[in-house]
Amino acid sequence: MRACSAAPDGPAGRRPPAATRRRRGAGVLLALLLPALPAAGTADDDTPASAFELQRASVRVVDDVYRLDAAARLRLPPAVREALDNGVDLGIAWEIQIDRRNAWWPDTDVAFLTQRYRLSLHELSLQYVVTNRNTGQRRSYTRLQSALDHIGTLVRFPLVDRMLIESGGDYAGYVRVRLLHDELPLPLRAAALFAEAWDLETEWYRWTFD
Amino acid sequence: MDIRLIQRLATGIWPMLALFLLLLLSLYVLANFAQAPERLRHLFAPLLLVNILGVAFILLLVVVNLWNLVQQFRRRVAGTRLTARLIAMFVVLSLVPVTIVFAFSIRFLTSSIDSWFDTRVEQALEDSLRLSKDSLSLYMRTVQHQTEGMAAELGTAAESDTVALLSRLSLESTATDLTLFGEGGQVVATSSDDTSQIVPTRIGSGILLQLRQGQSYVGLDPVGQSGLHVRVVVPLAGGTPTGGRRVLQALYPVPADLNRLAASVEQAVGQYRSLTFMRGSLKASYIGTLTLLLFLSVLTAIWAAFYAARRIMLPIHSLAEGTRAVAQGNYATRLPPSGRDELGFLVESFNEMTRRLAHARDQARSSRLQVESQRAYLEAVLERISTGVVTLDGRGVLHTANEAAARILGLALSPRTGQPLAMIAAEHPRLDPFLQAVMPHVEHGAGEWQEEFELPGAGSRRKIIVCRGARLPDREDLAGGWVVVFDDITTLAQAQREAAWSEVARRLAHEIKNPLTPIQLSAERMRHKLLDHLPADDAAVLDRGTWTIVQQVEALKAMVRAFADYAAVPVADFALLDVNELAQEVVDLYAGHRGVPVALVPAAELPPVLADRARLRQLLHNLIKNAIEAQAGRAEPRVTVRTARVTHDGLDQVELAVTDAGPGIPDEMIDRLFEPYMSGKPRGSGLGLAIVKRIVEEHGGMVEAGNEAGGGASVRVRLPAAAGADRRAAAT
Repeated sequence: MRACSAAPDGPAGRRPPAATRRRRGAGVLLALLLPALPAAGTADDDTPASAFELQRASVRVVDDVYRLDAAARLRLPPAVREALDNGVDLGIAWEIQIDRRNAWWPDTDVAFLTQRYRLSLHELSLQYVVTNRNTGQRRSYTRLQSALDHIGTLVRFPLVDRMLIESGGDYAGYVRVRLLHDELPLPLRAAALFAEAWDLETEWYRWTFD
Repeated sequence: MDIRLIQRLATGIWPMLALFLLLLLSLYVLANFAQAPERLRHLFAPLLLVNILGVAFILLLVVVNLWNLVQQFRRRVAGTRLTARLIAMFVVLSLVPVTIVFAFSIRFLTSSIDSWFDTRVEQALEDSLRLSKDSLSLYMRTVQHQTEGMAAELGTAAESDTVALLSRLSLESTATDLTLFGEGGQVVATSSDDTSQIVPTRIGSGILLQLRQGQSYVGLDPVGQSGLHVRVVVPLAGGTPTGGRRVLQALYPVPADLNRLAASVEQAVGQYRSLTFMRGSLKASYIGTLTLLLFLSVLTAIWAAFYAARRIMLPIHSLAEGTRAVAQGNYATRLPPSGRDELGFLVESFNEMTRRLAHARDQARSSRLQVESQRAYLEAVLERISTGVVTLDGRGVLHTANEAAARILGLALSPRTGQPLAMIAAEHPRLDPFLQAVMPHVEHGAGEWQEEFELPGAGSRRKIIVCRGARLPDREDLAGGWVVVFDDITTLAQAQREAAWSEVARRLAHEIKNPLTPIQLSAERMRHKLLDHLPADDAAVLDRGTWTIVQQVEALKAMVRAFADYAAVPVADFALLDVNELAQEVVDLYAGHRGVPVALVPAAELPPVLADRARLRQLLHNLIKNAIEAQAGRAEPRVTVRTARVTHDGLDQVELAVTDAGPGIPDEMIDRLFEPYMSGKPRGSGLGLAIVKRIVEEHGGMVEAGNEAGGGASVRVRLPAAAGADRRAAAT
């Protein structure tokens, strides 16, 4: 194991990489166009603005591989909690993007990685089951928050081989956690587009490779 | 976006059809998205966006069309009302069935979704779940007892035997995993069927809390892909040598049958609950898709209504515009061909009509131009002839009159066209003889006729007019009118009289002159032979008689000479002369003549005239002599000779006027003053002024006589100034 050689910059606000920016744009436009469409179940106005919050993230090189340690505080608004308790599975994913920044032309994508989880309620045991969709591993928790804490913790997640990060290049990495609308049941998906309670995602956290 | 592109899209059928089909396909995919593969799930939002934007775009096109229609309505473009009516009809025809289908679909949809959820089903599922839980609870209690037994055994065993004992207990029990945890949660010993799992599952903090209170934990735990397991955690009776507490965790797989049944119940209950939870969203989702479909259909139908109305109205609109253009006189209007239907036939007929109208208009214009040309030609001819021409209708109303007619009648007639002749004559009594001559024929409708009458001219002179009339061809606008032509023959009549007098003079001179000399010689011979031989009385008679004869013969000879002079055709010797100089020369001869002063008032600048000096001198002598004789016996006789430069009818002329202070010229003589033997004097040949007139005419001039306002008569002679005289005079 080697010492940390990457410097975190901190939250990058709502400025996402281009690929995910386009996805968000469609949702915002839809929200503007269809304000009258019925909202999903209980779209609470009192939902905290930062139901998903990225608390820290750091990158270090272990065995010539950049690895990410990150922690996010995840809370479910009542509407989402109600859906989960009523048998709706939730997809939550860490999204990590590494760009090479160019002076005279658009940034190029070096890598885009996701760590996806499925959170569901097991009716018989009344346990919250977290399934790591990358590995298929399942963990069950009696308390929801324990399950969320498990999801919100990323330990030594391998990002990219050190050889791929050229010395002298200007690289930047972004990470965030978000609720995957695409994995919601279809009836909920349209409504989730327009309900703030379902708009669960952290801001992009940015770091640079020094 | 370019506004013209929107216009083109708003009016073109193919872009619209393509857009409609695309949106329909997109909506179909959206409605069946539940069956879409996992990798396409992220397309849901873009598809929804495409559909909403597409419908919004069609809405924009409809609004653009509507706006255009409103603008056309305000501008009162032809055919707008009919277009609006057609569109309204189409919209109603499409809207009503679509709305009915929509309403029924919504109703059917909501009731269908509601029918999925039945309280009995829900209760049955809940019961199944409870039954499953009860069954599992029984199993859980069994394995709990078993674990507690193992824990008691382990609690009393020596620490060195713990691992061996745990392995044995594991083999004897159905537990797949037995783990002994020490104080602080570290693994003391473990025995597991699953060799792949090196690290045993740690005990959660919640379980530990429960254990600290001395209670066992038993719970269901879905472990990986192995299905449900019962996790039992039991505190050991005996502590560690250091006094810490140890716990035993055992994992028991739920029997396969029970596991399968429980999983089935679990899955069914989960699905049913999630469906129940999403019932509202499900309805909203379907209703949203249906609403999008409704909007798409209705808006496309409205657009199609605009398109169809525009297509139908295009030829009608063209026809209306074309008709308006034709009404405004634009016969060149041609409409574009419009298919082979009835409207196309109508358009073709319209084009044929305008073509014929244009042809007829061109022909009429050509004819009118021809008529106007002929009319202008005739008017030009009529204006330039010296004969007066007027046309009258059957009631004697003046229709046309040429310039010569106005000149002869002494009255501008053009402004009086449309007035009855009687009215004109009433305003101008001078024209009464004209009215008397014309109206009887006009009123009684005689054929061609001719009249001669006299018309008062300027001053006291009279004009002799010969007037002829004839019926015009029967035309509607003339209503049996007449054309009346007339000539001023005053000059002609005068010339005829003068010619007659010349002939008389010539004959008289010839016939009388010959016997006069023998008469005179015979009388002188008688006097010479007999006067001395006769008694005194007889001699006195003879002397008076012969003297009288000789005197009268002399007088006759003088008269015959005068006639000869009048009738003679002189040999003129024209040369440029100064009238002032000639007048001065003649006036000087009369200086102090018989007490009648003759004065000359010469013009300051007078152009020369081309004239025979001797003849002009005779003219002046005759005029002065005539003026002196006219004042015989008057108290203050005087004669004034004036020269002046005048312009008459655009011609430069020299005027020579001789004025006296006599009694003036009687009215009855004034027209015939220049005729032979028109003398007002007791003596004289009566040829003086006749000779004056002849000399004036020889010089191409004119003479007129009249009475002065202050008394006395004047004779004015006007002779043309020699052409270029000014330049010559300036040169000299």
